[in-house]
Amino acid sequence: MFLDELRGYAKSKLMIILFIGLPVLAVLISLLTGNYQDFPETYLNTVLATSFAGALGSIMIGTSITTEQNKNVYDLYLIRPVSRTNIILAKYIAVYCCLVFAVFLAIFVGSIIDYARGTQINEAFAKLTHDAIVTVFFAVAITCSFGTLFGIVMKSVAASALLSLYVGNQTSAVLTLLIPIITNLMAQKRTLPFDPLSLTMVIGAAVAIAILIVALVVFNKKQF
Amino acid sequence: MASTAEFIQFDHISKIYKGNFLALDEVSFSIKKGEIYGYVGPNGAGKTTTMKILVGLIRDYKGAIIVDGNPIDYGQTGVHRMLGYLPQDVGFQEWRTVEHALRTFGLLSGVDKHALDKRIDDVLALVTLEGVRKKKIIYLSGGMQQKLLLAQALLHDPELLVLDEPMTGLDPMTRFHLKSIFKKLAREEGKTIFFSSHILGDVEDVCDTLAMIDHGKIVKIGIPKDLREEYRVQDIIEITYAEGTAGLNDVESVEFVEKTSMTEDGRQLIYFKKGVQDIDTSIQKVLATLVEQGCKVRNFNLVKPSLEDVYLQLVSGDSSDSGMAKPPKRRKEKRA
Repeated sequence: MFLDELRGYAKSKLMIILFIGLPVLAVLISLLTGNYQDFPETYLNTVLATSFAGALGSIMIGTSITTEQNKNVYDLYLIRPVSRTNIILAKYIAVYCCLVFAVFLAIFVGSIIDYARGTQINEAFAKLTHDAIVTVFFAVAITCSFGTLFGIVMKSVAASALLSLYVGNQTSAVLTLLIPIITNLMAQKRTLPFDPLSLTMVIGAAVAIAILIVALVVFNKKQF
Repeated sequence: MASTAEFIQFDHISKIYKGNFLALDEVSFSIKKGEIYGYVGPNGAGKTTTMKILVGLIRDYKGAIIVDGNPIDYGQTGVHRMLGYLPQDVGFQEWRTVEHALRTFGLLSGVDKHALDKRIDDVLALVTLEGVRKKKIIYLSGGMQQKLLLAQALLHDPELLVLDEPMTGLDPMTRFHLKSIFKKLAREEGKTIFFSSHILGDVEDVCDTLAMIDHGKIVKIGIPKDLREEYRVQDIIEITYAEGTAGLNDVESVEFVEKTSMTEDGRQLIYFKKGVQDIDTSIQKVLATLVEQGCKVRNFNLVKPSLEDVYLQLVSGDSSDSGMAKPPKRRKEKRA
């Protein structure tokens, strides 16, 4: 089922826009900003890609689940020996994989631009970029989880899209702020024995999994 | 032909939806193996709920469904393989082609990967969709999508086909084609077909037995022919006269005739009194009277009661909002 959904989402208009749009956006930004104070394009693209991919991903999975429920598409699956959890997980993982691929595409274009410009990335930016790339995985996971939940719960496609976009993005935005917040707390109290990035990863994964579990429970209890 | 053994039994099935809406109230009936079983009733009567319970889409209900003598267990893969379901108002994911959709459903239903291509060929040929195999489903007409739904239901060669309003919105040609497929599947392949329809003429054409449901309760079960006889209220004959001939004008003179009326196209309807036992003798007497009166009869038909007549007597409410298709003309049995 996963490969089936992956094929469907990868060919969808929204995902094609993302696959082409993010690298194009990366080039446009580099042209607009120029080589501003050796600001690395890779970092900029990572942050932008996270925001765009997360937003589009949550809308995509949310609206597709709501639309498919409204069209009774799942009736044709549920009468077959396939679990409801599998149906939703296949969608979730397919969208997640497509988004991560789109993000990496944007980051790759950014690093090519940096290489072509000969941008020297200092240690601070390298750390920021590394943390941003790692955080991307969890931010996208959270937005997809919220998209899945609202897609299952809502009957209106528009409401599903808006809620997925707003709540998903707000929550994932908080996640990206966690690293500096935790770092500051550690600097002040010097008592937290955690690596800020690791803690962010744990919190991100926990939130994404918790929301996804709620979505799966709701879907499993649904009457079709 | 249908066997005498009960294949599917609905045993006192009740279903209450949110808001305390009683959708099914102690529904009990049984379907024999190889039988085409029609299920009719107005919108909201409980047809789709019954079918969704049978295929396992609704699990929260009271009562039991017995298959071949054993309570149904949806945890068993075999149960799903036994069932083929054509749902009402269902859509496909817009990116799927006909072949891709069938491939996915075939694999999910457990059709062997190596046999799947051949199986897809077979079902597409059966529903005459070979030409659109590579086409995206969203570009198919409503009739073609309905045929595709039938194809996905048949893909894993199930014993039981549950078809929810399979002929809604289809043109007469496609309906005729689907009906011939149903008959072929039941008569030649021994499949059991449980189907609902608003078009009673279609139900009458194909089903061996039918159940009528209204407000969640079964109001009648029987063989269409027997039901028509049981609910026969009044016999009517329709007479076409030669040009220039007036119709029967002395109603009182014929013992069994209650009244007469003329149709818009000039044919005369003669209504026999209710409770006439020997219809053949009554017809003979009417014809003799017509001859005596110098009427030149070109043709006459005995208008037999249709399933719609039975339905209208059994199902409550105004038929205009019952969602039923406008009843076609009564069946005619040519006598001359």
